[in-house]
Amino acid sequence: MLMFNSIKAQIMLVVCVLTSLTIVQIYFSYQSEQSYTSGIENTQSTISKIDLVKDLQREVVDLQRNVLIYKDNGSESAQSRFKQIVESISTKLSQLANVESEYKLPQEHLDYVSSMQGHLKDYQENFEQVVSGREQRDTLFKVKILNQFNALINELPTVTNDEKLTQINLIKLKLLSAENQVFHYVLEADFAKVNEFNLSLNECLTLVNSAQLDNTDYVVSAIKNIKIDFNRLTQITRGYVFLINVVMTGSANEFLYLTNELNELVSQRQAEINQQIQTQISSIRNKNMLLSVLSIVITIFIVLILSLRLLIPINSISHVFRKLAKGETGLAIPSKERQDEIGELAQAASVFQQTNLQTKELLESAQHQNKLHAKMNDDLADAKVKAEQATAAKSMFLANMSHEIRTPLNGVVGLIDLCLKSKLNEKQQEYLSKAFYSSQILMNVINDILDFSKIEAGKLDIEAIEFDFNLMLESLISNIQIRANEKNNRLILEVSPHVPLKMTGDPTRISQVILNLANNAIKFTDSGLVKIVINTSHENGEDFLVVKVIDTGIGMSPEQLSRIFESFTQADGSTSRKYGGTGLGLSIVKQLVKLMGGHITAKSVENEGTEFCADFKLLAKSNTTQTDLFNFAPNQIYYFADNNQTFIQKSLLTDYGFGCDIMASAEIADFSKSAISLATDNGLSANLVLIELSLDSDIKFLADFVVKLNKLGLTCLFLYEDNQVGKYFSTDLKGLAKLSLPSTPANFINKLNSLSQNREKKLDSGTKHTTADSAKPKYKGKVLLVDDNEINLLVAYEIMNSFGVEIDMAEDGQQAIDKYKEYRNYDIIFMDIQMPVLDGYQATQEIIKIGCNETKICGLSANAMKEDLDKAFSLGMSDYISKPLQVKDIENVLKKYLIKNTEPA
Amino acid sequence: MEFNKNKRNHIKQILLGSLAIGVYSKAPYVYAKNKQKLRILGTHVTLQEEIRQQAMADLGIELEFEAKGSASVLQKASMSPQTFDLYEQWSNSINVLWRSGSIQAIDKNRIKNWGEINNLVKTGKVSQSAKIGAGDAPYKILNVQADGHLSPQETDQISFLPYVHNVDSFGYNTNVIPKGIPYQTESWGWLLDDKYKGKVGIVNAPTIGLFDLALAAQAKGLMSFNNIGAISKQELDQLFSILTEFKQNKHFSGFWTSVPESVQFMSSNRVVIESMFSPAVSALNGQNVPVTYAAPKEGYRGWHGVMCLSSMTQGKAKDAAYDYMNWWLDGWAGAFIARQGYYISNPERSKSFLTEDEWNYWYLGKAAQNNLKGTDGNISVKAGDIRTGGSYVERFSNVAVWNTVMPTYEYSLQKWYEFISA
Repeated sequence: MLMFNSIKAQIMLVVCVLTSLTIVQIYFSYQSEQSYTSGIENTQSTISKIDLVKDLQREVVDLQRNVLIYKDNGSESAQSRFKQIVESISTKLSQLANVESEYKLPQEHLDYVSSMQGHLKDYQENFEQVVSGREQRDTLFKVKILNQFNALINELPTVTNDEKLTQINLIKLKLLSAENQVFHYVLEADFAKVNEFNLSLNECLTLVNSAQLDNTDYVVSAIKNIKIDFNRLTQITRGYVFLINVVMTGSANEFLYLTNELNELVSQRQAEINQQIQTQISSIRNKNMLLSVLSIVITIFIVLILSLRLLIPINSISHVFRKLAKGETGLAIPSKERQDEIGELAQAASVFQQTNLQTKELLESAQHQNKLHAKMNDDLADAKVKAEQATAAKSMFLANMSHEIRTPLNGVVGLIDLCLKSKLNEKQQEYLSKAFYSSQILMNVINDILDFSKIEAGKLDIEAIEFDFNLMLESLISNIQIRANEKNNRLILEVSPHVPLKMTGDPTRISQVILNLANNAIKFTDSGLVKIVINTSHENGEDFLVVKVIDTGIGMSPEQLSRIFESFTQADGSTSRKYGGTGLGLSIVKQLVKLMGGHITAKSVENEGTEFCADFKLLAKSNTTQTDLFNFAPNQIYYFADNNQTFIQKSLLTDYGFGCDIMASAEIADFSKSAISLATDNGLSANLVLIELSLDSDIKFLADFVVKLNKLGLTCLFLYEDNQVGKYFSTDLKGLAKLSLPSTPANFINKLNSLSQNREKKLDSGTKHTTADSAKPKYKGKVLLVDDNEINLLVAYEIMNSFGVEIDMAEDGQQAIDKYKEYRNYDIIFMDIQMPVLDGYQATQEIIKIGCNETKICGLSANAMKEDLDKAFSLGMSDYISKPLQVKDIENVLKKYLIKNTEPA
Repeated sequence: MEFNKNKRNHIKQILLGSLAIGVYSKAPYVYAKNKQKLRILGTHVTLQEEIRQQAMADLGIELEFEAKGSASVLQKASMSPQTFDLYEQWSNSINVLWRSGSIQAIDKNRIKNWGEINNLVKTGKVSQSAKIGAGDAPYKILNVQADGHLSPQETDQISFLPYVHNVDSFGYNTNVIPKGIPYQTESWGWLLDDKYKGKVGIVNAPTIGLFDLALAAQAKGLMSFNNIGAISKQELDQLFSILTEFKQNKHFSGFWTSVPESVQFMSSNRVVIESMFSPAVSALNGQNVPVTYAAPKEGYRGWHGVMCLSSMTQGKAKDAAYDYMNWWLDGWAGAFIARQGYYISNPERSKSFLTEDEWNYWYLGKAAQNNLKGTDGNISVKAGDIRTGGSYVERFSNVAVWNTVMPTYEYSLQKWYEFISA
């Protein structure tokens, strides 16, 4: 009972019941069809039997007909036809006996058939007797009787006696009469003929006896034989006529009767079968009807039950579910007590309802949470705004810092610079130098912090301008060299000949990176070697400028190395104390390199040194490289040096295309001798002689040989380090070519170029070169200086004055405009940006409005932000100098726009 | 059901019988070395297996029975004497066989019990008041005369051994036809009674059936005969014209040719009245088909069994034939056939082989005291039954006509043919 609690089981049961009903129906249908089929089969079999019987009847009639034909004329064809028909009948009879063997033949049927077979057998036998009888009769008649008659008549004596003749004739007559009767009998079997035959022969016998013939005995016996034969003939005739007329006809009639009976039996049987089939079919139909009604009733019942048990509960539960789906709760759930699937459904609904309740609570809680989140989001947004405001404020603060700190610092640096240029005693000189140096450090620190802040704020923009590599390098080296000298470090610069002359990038920031790295190297190296190696590389279709800075300083442990690019980090705490610095340097370097699409790596061995390698993506580069600077074809160099480590590596010279022989400076004597002996050799004059100067060098000795060599047409160049020692030596080499190292390739090559041009000249003009380094170039032109800050104005004035230009000054933008209106032909206006009355931008706009065809305006501002520059250029300024003003910066501008005054000042 | 079962059993018997004949017909080769074989051609009336077995046991000879319908038997015998040694049929075949030379005369002196043969074949009368009966009464054709004629004149040569005989009439099913009163209401005319139209059977033999129908026509008053034992052509024409009309009206259901067939006719309900031989009546009663063998007021059609010796049988076969003939008159066979309603020509010899009750019933026409069984073991006579027609003497005193071959035989054959084919 439990198993039927499940609706599945109930439906299975229903399906089983319906299937069973269907199967039973199919079974009945099958039965019906079977009985119909068997009925048809039986009917067909019966019909075939009826046909058989009809054929039998026809054949029996035919049989009789043939028998009669035979009886009449002894026809052989009738005889053979008889045999055929008998065979056919026999076959049909066995068919009749077997035709329905698998289905019950009534005994009567078999009896009939067997009777018929018996009759047929008799009939056949009888016919055989008939045939035999007829043959016997024919023999008797034709062979015996007629012959006997003929013989007898012939044997009658021939007499001449009339009386006897009459008697014999009478005998003959009687014999002929008897013979005649025989003929008659044969034609028509009639007992009367037999009597007449006997009568004739009896009379004949009487006549024979009375006639007293010679052969009376013979005649009498012959007549008796004839009588016997005829008697047999009649008997045989009777016999077969009896057989035919009575026995065979009776058999045939009986046969026909039996066939009729059989026919009736078969028909009756057929009718019975039909009736039976009808009954069966009707019974099956009734059963089917009953079953169909039963099926329908059961189906309706099942439908009702299903409706009551399933559909209605499901409906109401569905209703509940719909309500539940709408989120309603507190519903009464029907059918919960049921044990079946409906019950489960109800349970599910109940769970659903429970879940709804929970969901509702959850929803409320979620809504509450959402509100909280919204509030938090608002707070966050506020915080973000505040943070952004704070960032903006920070930026603003930094900008202000930049301006506010650098402006006074500018003043300090400028004034110290000026002061240093005035006449001072040694002590003052020293103090001011230190103050200047400290100011510079302070400036650097401030710049570092500013840069870092800019980078942090994402405000640092990388420029993409074309610049002259050698120019950048020259100013960079001069800066680094000073520091290197201070720490007694030897600075070596190696620039690959493949480095392009011009490239596109941010020279300021590249310089900054190299400067930082080099300063760093110098900082941690005492009396060592700092080497800057510059090359290019090509990776993934992009060109990189690769800078290696190698020192022989204190180095770092791997642990330290791993942290050096982090902000505010130095190798360790002690480093900071010992070497100072903000700890921002390398961090800024790394950020800058990254901003310029490059990478920086470092490797170091503690107490042995450190190697930094930075590369910078070059947005473009010139096709010309360093070697393009040569005016001559590089040839053999004879390099005299006493250091193992030559100032210029042999390999570098080789790279630049020179052949190179390095010799000790003492060997120059021998070299000189050989050179003299080889003076006639033209090839030698094309060669170079490089002589390194060191502390131990015998300058005079060397200079003598150089003079000799120069005379021989050889170009000789002294190389010395750009330090105190070098400067000291250089003074002893008046009139001789010399070059301080490190040197940019351009300087080196240009030097060689000029030497090569003047190689055959005397060294008279050589003295002028000695002042080239210390004396400032002079420029022709008139400038207007605009700055509201008096100190700045003074510093700027002093610097520009040192370049020999005419100077007008204005203290604000309006004054500047007025001045300009007054005198239109200023070559350059140096315009401070932040000024009272009218700021630099406004003034520039006004001036450009007035129209300035030739006049260039150069902005001056402590606002070194990129946007300031952009604004300046967009308003029509031609240049921009960032404060604090540096002589170099100003010179660059002057050099750019003014013509050099070659006249001595 | 019982009826059908019986019917089936009976037919089975018949079939078995004919099968047995087939078997025995081959048997002689097995026994021929030691035993004399005797071929007997005849009808089912006397060619019965019990008789054959008994005779073989008694005589130590091999018997071969060939049982056929009466007409076939006659024909075969008359045409082919070489095919049999003894012929058993009815007296009406004597003229035919004798004339055809198929049989030879029997030496009366070799018949041991000849003296016991009753007067029926000697004087033609079993009693003073007895009618001789029309046609070939057996006594008229028994004695072979010196000239070869057969006549009542006693000689030592006889054409046949007289043995089984009876009077025939018709049987009717009392389920259908109310039982009549012997010699008073029972009449041959019933055979042509319209009431039984379609249910009438006649024996298919002009020498027998013709008389049944002639008697019937006469009894019915449809015609009369100058001499019913020698019907003329004209009378035949008239008779057959009447009969053909009946035939065409489907009055007759069939014409039987053998006793089993006549039993089959009646038991299958094909007929309710038909020409009958006595064993058929016994058999049917044994099968609970209540058939009454009528004692027609017009008198019986008498028949006399004849046992003839084939003209071709000589020597040891002939001796065996005489042995067999003598065996028949030795009592057992007479008693055996008495239980089938037949009479033997020397009844006293058989009396000791019968119970008194049987003797009284069968020969004396007295009521049976007990149920009497037939030769088939079935009860054929119930206690209290009286034989229709009465005692032997009474019955043979009422013979209207003997089965006869008339001078118009050839003509009757033709007419008979026309009649049964109509």
